[in-house]
Amino acid sequence: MESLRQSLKTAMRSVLTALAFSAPVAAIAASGVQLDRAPSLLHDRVALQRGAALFVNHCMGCHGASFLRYNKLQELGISEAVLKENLMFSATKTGERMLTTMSAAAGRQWFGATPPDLSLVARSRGEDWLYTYLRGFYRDSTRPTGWNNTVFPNVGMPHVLYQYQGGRELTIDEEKPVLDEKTQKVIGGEKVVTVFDENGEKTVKTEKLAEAPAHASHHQHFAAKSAGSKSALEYDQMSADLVNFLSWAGEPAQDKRFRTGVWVLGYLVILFALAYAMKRAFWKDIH
Amino acid sequence: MNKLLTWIDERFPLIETWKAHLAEYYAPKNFNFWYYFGSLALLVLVIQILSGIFLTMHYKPDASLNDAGIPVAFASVEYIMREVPWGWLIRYIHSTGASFFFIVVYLHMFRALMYGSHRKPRELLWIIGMVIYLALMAEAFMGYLLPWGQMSFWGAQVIVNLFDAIPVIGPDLSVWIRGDYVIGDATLNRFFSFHVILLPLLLAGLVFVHIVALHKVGSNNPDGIEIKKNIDPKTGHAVDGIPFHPYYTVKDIVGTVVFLALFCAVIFFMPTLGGYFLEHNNFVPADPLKTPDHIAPVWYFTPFYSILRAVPPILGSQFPGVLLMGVSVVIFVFLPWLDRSKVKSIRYRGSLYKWALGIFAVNFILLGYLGVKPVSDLYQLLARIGTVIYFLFFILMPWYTKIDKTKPEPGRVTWNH
Repeated sequence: MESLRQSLKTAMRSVLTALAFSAPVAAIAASGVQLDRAPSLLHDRVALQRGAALFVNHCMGCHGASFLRYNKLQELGISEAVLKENLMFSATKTGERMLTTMSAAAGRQWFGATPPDLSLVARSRGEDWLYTYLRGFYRDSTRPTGWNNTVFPNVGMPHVLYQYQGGRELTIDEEKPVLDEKTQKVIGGEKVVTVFDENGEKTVKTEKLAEAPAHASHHQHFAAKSAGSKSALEYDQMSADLVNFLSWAGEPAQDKRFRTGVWVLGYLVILFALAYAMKRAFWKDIH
Repeated sequence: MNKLLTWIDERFPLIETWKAHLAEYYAPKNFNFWYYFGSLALLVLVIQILSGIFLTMHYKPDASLNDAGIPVAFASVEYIMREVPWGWLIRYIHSTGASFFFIVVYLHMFRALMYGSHRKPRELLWIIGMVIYLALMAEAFMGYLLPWGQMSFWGAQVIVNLFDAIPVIGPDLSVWIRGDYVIGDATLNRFFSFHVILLPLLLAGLVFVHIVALHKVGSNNPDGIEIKKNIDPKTGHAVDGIPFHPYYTVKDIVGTVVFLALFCAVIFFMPTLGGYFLEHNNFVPADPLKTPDHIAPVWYFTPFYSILRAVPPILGSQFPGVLLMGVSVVIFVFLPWLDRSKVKSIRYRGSLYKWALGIFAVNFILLGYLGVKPVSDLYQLLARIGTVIYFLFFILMPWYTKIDKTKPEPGRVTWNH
């Protein structure tokens, strides 16, 4: 019964999402990078709890979630004892808001900008963007923090989950037509391969192409170089858990909203039948 | 009960009012699908006022930052979404209601253009309607500033800056509107005041006047003929008229339920409608130091926004674009006099008007779509063509409606039952 309800819900939700033609959260980020689809685990309480733990341990040093109170996490099935013992580092009362201990001024000084509050980041950026972002860090020795990101170029944030993911090398393959400087006509093509190695050293190789490509293309891939404490799959799952938690945090009422909506629409269907019957009864005498 | 009624009636024309506007207001019996949107617009107004009352209890128009560095106004909206019991529902009702108000009003206006409801003797009714539409635009624009997100802030910045382009008085005028040199706390508080008091009061008054004017001249119908020309000598009422109550009250209840189903589908299953009803970037608090890459007003303003962007600056001034955008809204007022056709309803008009109206409607949607998108060469070209088409619909109307071949109007309304 529970699984039937679940699958019905999932089906309805995908139909409605398709209807909503959610174009603006397109699969392409502003930086032009293809976004990966974040798995939706909103009904998975254990995943949400893991995400909450990750958030408290790895994000809250710099970011707050000021629209959440600690005791809101109890809605995820976390007991008050566990909450107090394992998830509250700076707060003493469960009704306190989840604020970061870092001051805005310190953030500006260390990272160039105050790290944003993350309560609503899933609503403004979208889950897919966050999922790709968390998995898009690469070493770049030209950056002050030594880190850069494929979906958020020149981001101020370093890769705080590095110990889990391990060292990687980023390769960017670009093919583009070459234009004559004066006439702006296509005179050939070139292939540019940019590599950021595990230490952030950048090498660029350019070769001429025999035939000019019709469009500029951009492909990138990561290669693991040194192991982190998690496997690549585990790291993806970790990122998914964190994104999932942020998605819940963005609108904790979303599940209730959906469940209420099913009843409301059901009620309106019945009301429609009655209203329509009433209309027909009255209109019988209009000729 | 009867005694009470008599007591009231001796002091207030209760029964008379009930009869004049409902039980003995005779409406044509051939209303079709397009005739739901008037009563639905009234319904949305009521929904907006009721949900607005509850939002006002919890919302705080305050641009100062709280201890977490977030503007109090923005935080108070999230407080409603998270901590006020069923606050998320009230907020989504209100935000979705804003978009549905425009959907309903646009369909209501399109109905008038199809069946000639704006033509003599209903010109004043149409003009009052247009004033309602202008008030509604102001109401929506000011309401959109209140959540104090990035789009609220920068959208208001762009729109208020338009007044800057007006020659001579522009710069002073825009400062006067904002109450400051930038959009700030002063702007937020006055917009809040206008949004919750001035404009709702104005809207309620205008809607009342709109209905009084309607009941004076009587409703038009899909055939565009006057039912008052065929009076039954026995009853003294139009032969094709039926009492609004109960016939149209029960019919409008059906329309209301269908409307509520669509409305609730959005509220419960897709309240942001993929960023069209609630923009993604508006979940970021307003930051006067960070201009978003792409600023777009909400969808219901975008056809006019497209026209604004389509006009190139002349002598370095944006004023021509601003002027043309203003004209594009106000020009609707002149429709009753631009239309020279002998018949009112599209049913008895020739193909010229049908094509003109069809192209206008598609073009309006296209302009709306372009207004959501960032400018590109192709989009700019399309927006310019769209702008020309938009104005040609009005400018050429006296000509094409006059030469358009018409069919004879029927003596009685079309009614198959």
